[in-house]
Amino acid sequence: MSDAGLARERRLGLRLLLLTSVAFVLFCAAFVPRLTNVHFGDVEFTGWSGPLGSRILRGDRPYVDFVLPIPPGSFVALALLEKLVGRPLLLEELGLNAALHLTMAVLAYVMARSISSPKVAVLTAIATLSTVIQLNKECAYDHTAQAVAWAAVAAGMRALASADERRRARLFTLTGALAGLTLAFKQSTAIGAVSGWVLAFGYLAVTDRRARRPGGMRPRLAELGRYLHGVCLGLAATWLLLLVLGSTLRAFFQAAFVDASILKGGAKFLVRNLTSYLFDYPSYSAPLASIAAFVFIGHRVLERHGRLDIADERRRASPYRTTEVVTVAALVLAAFGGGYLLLALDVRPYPARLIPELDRLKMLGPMSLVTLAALFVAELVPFRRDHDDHDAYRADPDAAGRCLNAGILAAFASSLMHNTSAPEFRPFYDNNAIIPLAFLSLFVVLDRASLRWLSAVILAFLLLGIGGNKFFRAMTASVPIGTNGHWAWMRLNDRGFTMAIAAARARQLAGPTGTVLVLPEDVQFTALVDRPRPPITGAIIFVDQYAPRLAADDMARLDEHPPDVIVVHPRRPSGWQRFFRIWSGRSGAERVLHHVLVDMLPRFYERDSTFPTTFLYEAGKLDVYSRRAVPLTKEEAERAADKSDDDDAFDMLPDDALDPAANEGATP
Amino acid sequence: MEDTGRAPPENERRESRLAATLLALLSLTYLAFLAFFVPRLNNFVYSDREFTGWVMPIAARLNAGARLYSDAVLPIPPGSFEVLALVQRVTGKVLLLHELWFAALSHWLMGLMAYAVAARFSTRKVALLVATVTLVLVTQAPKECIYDHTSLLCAWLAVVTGMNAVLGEGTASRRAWLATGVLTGASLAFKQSTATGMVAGWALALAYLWAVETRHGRRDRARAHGRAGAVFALGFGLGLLVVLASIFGAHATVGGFVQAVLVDGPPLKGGVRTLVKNLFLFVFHYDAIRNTIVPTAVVIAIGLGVARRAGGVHVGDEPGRRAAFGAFDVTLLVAAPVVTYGVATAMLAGEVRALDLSFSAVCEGLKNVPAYGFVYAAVFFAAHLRESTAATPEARDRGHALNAVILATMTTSLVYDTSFVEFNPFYFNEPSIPVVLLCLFVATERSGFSWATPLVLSAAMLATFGTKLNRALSDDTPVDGTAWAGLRVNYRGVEVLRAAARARELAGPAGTVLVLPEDEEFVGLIDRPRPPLTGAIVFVDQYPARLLAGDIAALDAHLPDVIVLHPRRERDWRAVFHTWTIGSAAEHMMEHVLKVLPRRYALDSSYPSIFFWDQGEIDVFVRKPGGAP
Repeated sequence: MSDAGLARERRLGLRLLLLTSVAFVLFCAAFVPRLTNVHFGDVEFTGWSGPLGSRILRGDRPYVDFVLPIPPGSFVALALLEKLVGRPLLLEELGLNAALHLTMAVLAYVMARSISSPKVAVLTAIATLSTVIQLNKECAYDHTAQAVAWAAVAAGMRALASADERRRARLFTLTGALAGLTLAFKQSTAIGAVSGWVLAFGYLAVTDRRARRPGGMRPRLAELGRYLHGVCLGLAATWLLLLVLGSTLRAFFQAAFVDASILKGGAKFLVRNLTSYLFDYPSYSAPLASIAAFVFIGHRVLERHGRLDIADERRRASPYRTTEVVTVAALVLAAFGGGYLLLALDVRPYPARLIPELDRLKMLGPMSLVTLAALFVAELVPFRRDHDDHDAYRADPDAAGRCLNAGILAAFASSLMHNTSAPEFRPFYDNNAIIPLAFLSLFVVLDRASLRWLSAVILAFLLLGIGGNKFFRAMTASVPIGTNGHWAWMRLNDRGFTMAIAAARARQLAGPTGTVLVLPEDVQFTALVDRPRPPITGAIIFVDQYAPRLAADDMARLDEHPPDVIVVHPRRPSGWQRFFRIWSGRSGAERVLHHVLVDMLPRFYERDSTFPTTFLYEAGKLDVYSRRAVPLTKEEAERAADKSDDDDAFDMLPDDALDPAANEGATP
Repeated sequence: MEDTGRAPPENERRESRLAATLLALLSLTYLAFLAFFVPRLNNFVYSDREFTGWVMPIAARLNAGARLYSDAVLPIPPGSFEVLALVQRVTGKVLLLHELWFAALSHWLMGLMAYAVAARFSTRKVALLVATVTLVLVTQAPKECIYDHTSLLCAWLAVVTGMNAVLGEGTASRRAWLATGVLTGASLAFKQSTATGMVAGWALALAYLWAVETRHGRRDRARAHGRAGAVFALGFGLGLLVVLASIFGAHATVGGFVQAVLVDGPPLKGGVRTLVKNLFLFVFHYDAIRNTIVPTAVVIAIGLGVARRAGGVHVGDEPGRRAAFGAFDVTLLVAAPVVTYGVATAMLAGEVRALDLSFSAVCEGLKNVPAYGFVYAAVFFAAHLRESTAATPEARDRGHALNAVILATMTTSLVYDTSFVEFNPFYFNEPSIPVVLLCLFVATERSGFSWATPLVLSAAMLATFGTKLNRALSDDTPVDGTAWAGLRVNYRGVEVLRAAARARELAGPAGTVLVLPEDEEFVGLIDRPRPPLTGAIVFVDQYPARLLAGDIAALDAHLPDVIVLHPRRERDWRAVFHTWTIGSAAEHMMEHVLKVLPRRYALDSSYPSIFFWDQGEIDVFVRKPGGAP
């Protein structure tokens, strides 16, 4: 393609990207204020970083005054936003997340441009955006960590695609710095981001050797050195951040690595999970029809190019056709513009029975893992090349295929490690860095198979998928809450509205200076109540956030400073226990809950009010307890408990599970 | 193994003998394993998995003079009942062991047929690999009811004859088409869904061959395929005569058979609409392969290896590859059955009680490995559609022949699978198994990766040590007497035996017993007459609605002396029933009996059980004295 032609392609690509960005921002104006997701009442949980940012603004030191296994980066980002706005709002965290989604789309474009044409890059960016905005968990620690990890992958791929040695060196340093800086946001993602590029350099060194590249491995070692230099810079920045916050590296290490590892089950579980992710867990949908479709596409590529690998992808011309530009623009406007109109005009939600049908479209994204695997393997098992081709291949050690493979290794490592937060493998559920590369491989393959129409159809389905569960949830959130409190300017559904009333009741009972404890703790709800917690060290009393080593001391503190109000949700222990047991049957959080529910509530508190709720798709109850003026005797408390007609018995655990001595091993 | 052309004739004979020896070794090790495995294959009233031995009691009723489709109405064709009735007459006994051995020997025959199918298309080594893994897969089928096995034997044999028909020429081909047609027609004597699938599958195969030749202007060959179609149809007609003979052999009428099997049958599975919907979901919704990241990459690598090595993925030249066995090949083909069945047999004979559950679960998961052959079947199918990639006209024809057989077996298997509402490849003994395995091993052998075949073979063989073997290992109690004589049972089986003994005792020598929902194996174990119901099996997909009113009246008039209810919890059996239909006739019958039960019966005893992996209870009720309401 001529230079002028290439410039035109770039311009068109950037304009489409700009159009997508503008349409998305418009969509977010209506969508974001409807994203409440309180106390597991809708799906997952939301807004856990902002309230911790507020604590930083109040001068509390992370890992010293409040302990949790999450690095401080996202809290600092939200503290800055709060400072800027002048008050803490859930909208700040939701807005930051939306901005990060758009950033991810741009990063997807950058990654794709390292390999392929602007046309493919735009398709990749839009498909990526349509996927990342569907994550139901709006907590900025995930989004910030992923965005930085994505940036590291993008920078590394740009470095590999760059012919200018100085630029290349700078980009490798930047790659390392971003990978290292990921530690400021989430440690599992950071471990994957840093080790992923080391793995990628190893792969490149081996391929250099196979291709008998002049200079052997020396050039790669130099690049690895620059990368590691960058990693050190990123880690140093994280350390500096800790110092600025008044924390220490030791406390951070204890909370983010030692405690976190225990909370997620330890190294044994990590290895088991990683093995299961790679060898056992279903990652994509594979009915007979899709196998046939992939075989058909593969055959078309082989027919047209004689091979599956994409060594020549950067040289391949595949210019835009007018119909393609118009189709993509129309699809983007229809999806985001239509979505905005439906929300802004308060159109009644569509019938709920259609949600699973629309959510079924989400299986399209993971299917692109097949093309990703195909391109990865095709580069490893190349067809015989003719002599000229082979010389050209040797001259370009970072040809598109190898660049893509290096990116895949880096992205896959960070995605796998990020995923270790959950026992099941969800490559497209979280905003993993593998997503843009999977879409990139899909659209590259479809373009090489001359199936442009299929690219458009898939893009249309992916955009239609935005209308699934999360959008339905937004459509049901139609009641404006007003301009006061943590939820100012939000719109609520009936579940959110109930929570707002419950929070108001807890606030009223506590008075202006009283303390409130929410159990199991949902940080967003705690912020909504807007009253101080009792002086406990654990920042979040939740199964995978609360270090067992803190439990004994925190229970003593609770006995010493009992909160004025306790909010329990859900009422049935089996409700939260089922959830807790995904990670652990003997967590510190469960011990604290047991202490409060069994030792404190019956004697010292009385139920003030109850609110009907939903907890993970099941009907639940939220109870607000206020402290009694005069505690009951043990016998009175037992009699009161006998009278209770509710099924609120504990699921029986082994005695040692709730015994503090049993967790001594976890004490540092 | 290098591709250096066919072996010379003297070597050919040596290779042929070596292959026969290896096949004999495979058979011997497998049969030795069966000797210990089969007596442990009971599957008591859904307490392990699926159900077993439903043909034995009906066969006994035939021998007792019952007329199928008038005295005992059910939607299953008569063939399998007659086969087992014959066995019972010859041995003079009614034993579950007969049905279990019939199923096990069917599996062995399927292994031999898999060899025959693969050897016709590919090398002997590939054929032995296919036979070896076929035995592993078919043995894992969780349901030992020989109406399935008899019908599938027809379908598998038709794959052998069909492969010969599409690869052969002239008279040999026509004879093979005739045999395929006969087997297709005869399969209706055993199971209607198998027969429907075979008719659709082989018709599709013939249509494909005709369309390919017509498209490329080879009109003579197209006409030949048209004539083959006529021969197949003739064979099908002859096969229907076998059905007719079996109907008369069961003292039934053609009208009764048509009504029960062809008219009652489809609505019990939800009707044509459900059938079409299920077929759609099988193709577009249910996963055909285990969709994990690393195995996917390995499958792609093997495929690319095939393409890279030969410059394409057309495998019509497959038999042209050198057929000589290397030392490693022989070692592999000896080690696989000897080690696998040797260890399994030693564990059964040595009374080892259980495998580690995690290990067993991993082995169970490895059953999915052979399904990756679907990918290569699709790859080869697509490659064969492009004739320009074939090296020779012979290779081109062989490619189309494989495509035709893939179409026939896949169609047969999918339609057969509509007996259930989910598609789970290789869960049953589908006739696609040998063809999919053929594609899998052709790919691993042609990939040029020396690790590919040993890796796939090892993984597939490990599947032997899955749940089914673990279940057999738990059987520690020998049974003497009753229809279960000669078997060994585990603690769940002991409870079932106790429940059956109590029901027998309560009923006395001449009393009647009704089991609800009806499990035929349990009915056979109790060994007491049922009340005079026309419906042969009161179960959701076996009991036609037209019988309900008459049977309720008959039941009210002749209340059984004993009623055995399992599972006790209504929601448990309803959940199973609702897999097929809500509000089935069997469900109404259950509801009627549950209404009668408190007034006319007293709970005599209860026995702990498992019902589809959940804790259940077998309740034995006895009629209150005097019969007063």
